[in-house]
Amino acid sequence: MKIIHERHDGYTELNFLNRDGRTVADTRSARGQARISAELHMNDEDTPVYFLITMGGGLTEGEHYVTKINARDNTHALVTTQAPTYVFKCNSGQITYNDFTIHVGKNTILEYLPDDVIPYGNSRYSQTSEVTVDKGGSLLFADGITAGWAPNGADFQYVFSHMMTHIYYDGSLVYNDNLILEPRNYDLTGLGFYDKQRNYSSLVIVDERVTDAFVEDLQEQAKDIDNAIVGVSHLEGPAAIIRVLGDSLHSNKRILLNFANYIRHQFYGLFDINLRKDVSFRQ
Amino acid sequence: MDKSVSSVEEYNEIRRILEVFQICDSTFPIGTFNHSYGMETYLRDGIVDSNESFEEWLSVYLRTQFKWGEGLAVKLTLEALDHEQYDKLWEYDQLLTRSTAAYETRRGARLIAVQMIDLLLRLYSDKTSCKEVELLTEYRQRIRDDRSFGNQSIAFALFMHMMGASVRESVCYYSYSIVTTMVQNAVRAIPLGQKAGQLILNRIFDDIITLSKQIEDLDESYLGASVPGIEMAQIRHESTVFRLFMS
Repeated sequence: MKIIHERHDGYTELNFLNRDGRTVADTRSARGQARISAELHMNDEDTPVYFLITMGGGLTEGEHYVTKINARDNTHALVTTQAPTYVFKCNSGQITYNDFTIHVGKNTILEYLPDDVIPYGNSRYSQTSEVTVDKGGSLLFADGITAGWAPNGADFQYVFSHMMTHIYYDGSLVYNDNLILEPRNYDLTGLGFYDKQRNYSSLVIVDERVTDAFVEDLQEQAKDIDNAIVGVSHLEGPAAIIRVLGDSLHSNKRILLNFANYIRHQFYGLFDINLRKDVSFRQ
Repeated sequence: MDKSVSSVEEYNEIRRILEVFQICDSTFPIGTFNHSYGMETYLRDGIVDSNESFEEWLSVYLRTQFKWGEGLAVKLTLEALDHEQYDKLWEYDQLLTRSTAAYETRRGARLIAVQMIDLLLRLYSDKTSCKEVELLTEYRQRIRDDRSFGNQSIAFALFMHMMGASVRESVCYYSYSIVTTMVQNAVRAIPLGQKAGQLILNRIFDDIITLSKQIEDLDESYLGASVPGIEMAQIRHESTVFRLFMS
């Protein structure tokens, strides 16, 4: 399943360091079809915010994208995407690859909150994320995939999507998220798959302050959500996962953002995220 | 002379089959009857509420998370034993556990593994020179020392390797042991009729044989893969107030 590629159709490298007490992006490199937005800031804080951009609006058949984010010690950055990751049709049978390498240094916060993947009819998608967090680092990591898009309006018309994420904390594997979705072999609308929902999104929090009590606190909050199926569990290590199966992309995003905001208040002493990106991000 | 040799072989073969039956039986006391692998969440939500919906859940569980998880772990463990790559067992234990998002499911797997290893070591305590028994003893110690988590599928594969079983056989028998327990759990919990349960069990054999063939072609990169709903139900079981099962 894992293939190493030398050639890239889109390459992004974004490194942060602490310069005189402020987080600065000292490497901002985007090649091929990839672009990085100018540095932005939210209203209430200094945290640099970057939007990852794909020229042409999506990933074309057989393309390979590589993204590397390195938040070095004593930094805080937020990285998101300009739009959902559209994976266009793969009519010649080639696979589209999207690979991420993310590192979080010590005493560092990285909020990686991209939009979900939307696979088009007949697309073949492979995504891998290798994520390392140093001891004392804090990571918010979002991920998600919808029922996709097809000209006839039907759901799950893609060929397959394999999304694999390895998250390490202080050198140990905390979580191996290996999602295999094969609509041609399984009825993904049904029991055990999307359970009649259309959007599947997750948020992983890696932070020393994630305790059993904190996970129970998040579980209590999940109980009050009635417009989606929400689950929260403690991973092996100082980490937790929040999963959402819901009807709407925006409401899934809203739910995860509410959890992200709660974690920001509790752990970082910061205000809500306000990216002014789309309606789902507004209060 | 020939006749007596053949009867010894026959005796040993029947003895071998009976010993495998014993480990696969749903009454083998390792506590699997306490675990529903998330089925109870669907039961509480009113989604699994009949013979048909239980059979659907069971079939999806087998063809996805089970196939890529414990089913594949049985195969990988047997192959590692064939190649005398014993450290692989501890790697699979880690990877399988750390692929499981649901805390309860990880704890359930550990409890079952500990009981299975204990019982196997009691039954085969005389086979001290046997490599598999040595590894089961090491596995138990590693779990006690928190160097391994414990998973039933790895302990089972050690037993089947000792019995000289093939990958196909081992995966099918392991699947049988899981399915027969799940059917008994459904008989109690949903409830299903005993006869309906046996009909489901018989039909699901086709899925088991198919998945044992598919597992032959899978490598380590698939280990621990899952699908959304099956896993979500396991995660949400933690927050279920009234429960029959531990996971």
